[in-house]
Amino acid sequence: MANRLDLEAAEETVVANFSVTPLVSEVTPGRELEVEVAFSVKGKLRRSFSRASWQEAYEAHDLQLRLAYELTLVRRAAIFHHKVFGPLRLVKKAKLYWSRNPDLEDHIWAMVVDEDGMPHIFDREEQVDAALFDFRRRVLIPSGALAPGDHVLKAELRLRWGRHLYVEGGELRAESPPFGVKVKQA
Amino acid sequence: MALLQVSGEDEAVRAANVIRKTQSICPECNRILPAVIFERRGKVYMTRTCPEHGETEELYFGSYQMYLKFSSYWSDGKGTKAPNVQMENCQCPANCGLCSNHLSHTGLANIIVTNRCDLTCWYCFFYVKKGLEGAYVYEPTLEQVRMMVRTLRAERPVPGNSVQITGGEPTLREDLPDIIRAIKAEGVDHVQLNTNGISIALHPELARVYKEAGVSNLYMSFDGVTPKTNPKNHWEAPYAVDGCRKAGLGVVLVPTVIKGINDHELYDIIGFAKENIDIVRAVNFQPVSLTGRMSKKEREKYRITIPDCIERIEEQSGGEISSDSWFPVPSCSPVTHFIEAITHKPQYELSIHFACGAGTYVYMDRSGKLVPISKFVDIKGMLEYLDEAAEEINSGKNKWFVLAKVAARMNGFIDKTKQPEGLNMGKLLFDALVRHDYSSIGQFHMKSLFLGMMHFQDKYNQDEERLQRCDIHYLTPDLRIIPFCSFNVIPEWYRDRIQKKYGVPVEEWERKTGEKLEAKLYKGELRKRRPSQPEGSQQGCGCAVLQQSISNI
Repeated sequence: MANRLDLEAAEETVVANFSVTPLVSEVTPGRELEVEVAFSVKGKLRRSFSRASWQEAYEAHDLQLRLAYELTLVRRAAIFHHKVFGPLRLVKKAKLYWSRNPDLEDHIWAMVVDEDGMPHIFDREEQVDAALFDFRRRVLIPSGALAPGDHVLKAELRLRWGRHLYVEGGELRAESPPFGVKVKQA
Repeated sequence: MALLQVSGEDEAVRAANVIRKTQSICPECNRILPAVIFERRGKVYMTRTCPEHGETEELYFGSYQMYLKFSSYWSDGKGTKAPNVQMENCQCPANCGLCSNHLSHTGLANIIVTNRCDLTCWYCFFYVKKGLEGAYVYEPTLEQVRMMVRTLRAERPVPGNSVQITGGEPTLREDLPDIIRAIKAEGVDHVQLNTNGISIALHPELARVYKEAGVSNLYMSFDGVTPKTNPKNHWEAPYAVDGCRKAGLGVVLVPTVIKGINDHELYDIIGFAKENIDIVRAVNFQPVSLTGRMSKKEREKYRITIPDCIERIEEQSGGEISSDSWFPVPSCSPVTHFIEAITHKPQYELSIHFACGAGTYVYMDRSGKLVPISKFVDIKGMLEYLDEAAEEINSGKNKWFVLAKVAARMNGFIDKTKQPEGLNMGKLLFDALVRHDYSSIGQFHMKSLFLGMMHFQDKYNQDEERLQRCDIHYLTPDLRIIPFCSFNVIPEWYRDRIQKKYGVPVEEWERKTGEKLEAKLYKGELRKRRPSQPEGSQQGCGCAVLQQSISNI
């Protein structure tokens, strides 16, 4: 718990809880490997993009926060790492808009457009916050990416955002903990 | 949501499928009400309940899937920094003018130059009818027009730059060329003339007169390709198009689409535009706004929305113009934001609500097939890339470096294997976006059509979130700028009141001018069979003569 609070209060923006979990531990050749990638953005960026800043940003026509990220899957080796998949480039964004929802106290609100272009409109700020800064996504690794055998893999993440009224632009890199996967012999 | 009472068998469906909450009005008493937009069986509806007049539920958008795609392009505009009406709290649709809470600058400003018309269409609410109580002829003076345009040009941060002259039938005003020149003299670039085309069909030389005065294009009603679906100008439209061809004046066809009346002819209308692609620049479909008091059953009979029209076009074209070719109007915003990032100046922005309008471009290939640009351009990817490029410049990256990167990347969004022969889309985009040279777009236009949709609201589907973003406005002699969907949806507050205040009773107008209102009514000269033709022949009239004239060209 102390760790989580530390991250939320961090001066800088950080990537937390980055994990990659294969949905199966063994995969047969010719089949795609499906993994679930999860991470959270915490710290300054997350704190800055809040109801308190929406109104001012909206008035300055600073309407969109884009979180562009790239995921690359690498196989660990003794000296060099070998890229097995990626980079997969994805964008998630928040758009500020003037809502006429009579239930909302503030009329400037944020909607989230996810990586698939699906819009999400919420009634509560916490929901916006979670939808924007907590990432959980299934990724398919093509069948030819891994040869038969045991592999220790990890994911590399590069996350970028632009300069806004409420936060400076920035870039973060992170690595997931290693995970094992077995590709069976044909 | 104290006033919202969701009841009946659909209660659970509605509650579970709420998309967003907004405000609307009661169609009976105009009371502002909380409203809910929700999904049911793949379509989107809006409901609200008036404590006095009960619930009104209305089809809002005919496809939930398209609603999702369109709403992801939501992009609010810069609004107006020099509002005519200062409002503390937003009270749409009251006090329009524009007010300080309006979110779009004027994209197109309508000026009604007369409410007289040479037709008397039963469904039209917009022309003065003699004998009715409160019948006023409304014709602003040249000086009033000048002042209205100055109000438009005073908008900030983006001065209005596009005017539509409308009516009634504007060509009934003999001083129309003077009006056009006056508007141009105030610095307006684009002047569009909204007409039924009959005057030009009767007097083709008028097309040149209007063009020379400064009209950029005709915006001509065209509701179908048969006399039944287009009683307004079926016979006359081809003559008007021909007149414009001779004058080199571009034409936009404007079908009002009514379910069960002409929605089976949407692709045929595009076909008519294709036959005249040398002079027809666009087809702008307008799903009908249901005015007057109508029962729910009647509304369901006639109501059609943008996705319904798009789907009908896909069906009728055999998939040639597929539903996924269409994008909502505010999807242009990344282009605007990119140019703003480069120029550091506020630019003209189409920031209407995503549910108000949609569009696509189709290019005619050498076989005559219409190819939507989305078939060979990755529109979504390109817009996302421009968004990113704008963000990089705004975050401090060297703009010339970013520009060079964009220029190098543009071709990557074009699938050259699918690009129609003779078209170099990469060069066109490069010229327009990077060099700001639009000459190649002019050439593109000669073989392409813009297909648009614009769904004006009515009292049954009025969404105040849409109204607040409206960019098609009316200029009025009291020097206000009033959004279309206030002006026409609540005429008792806007249109009728203004026309009464600045108009004169019909009898007085007739006395002053020495004319009779009905003297200018169209007598159907072009609908008569030519003496040399056999009885029952339609040759020499309507769409048939134009096809003949095109083949002669």
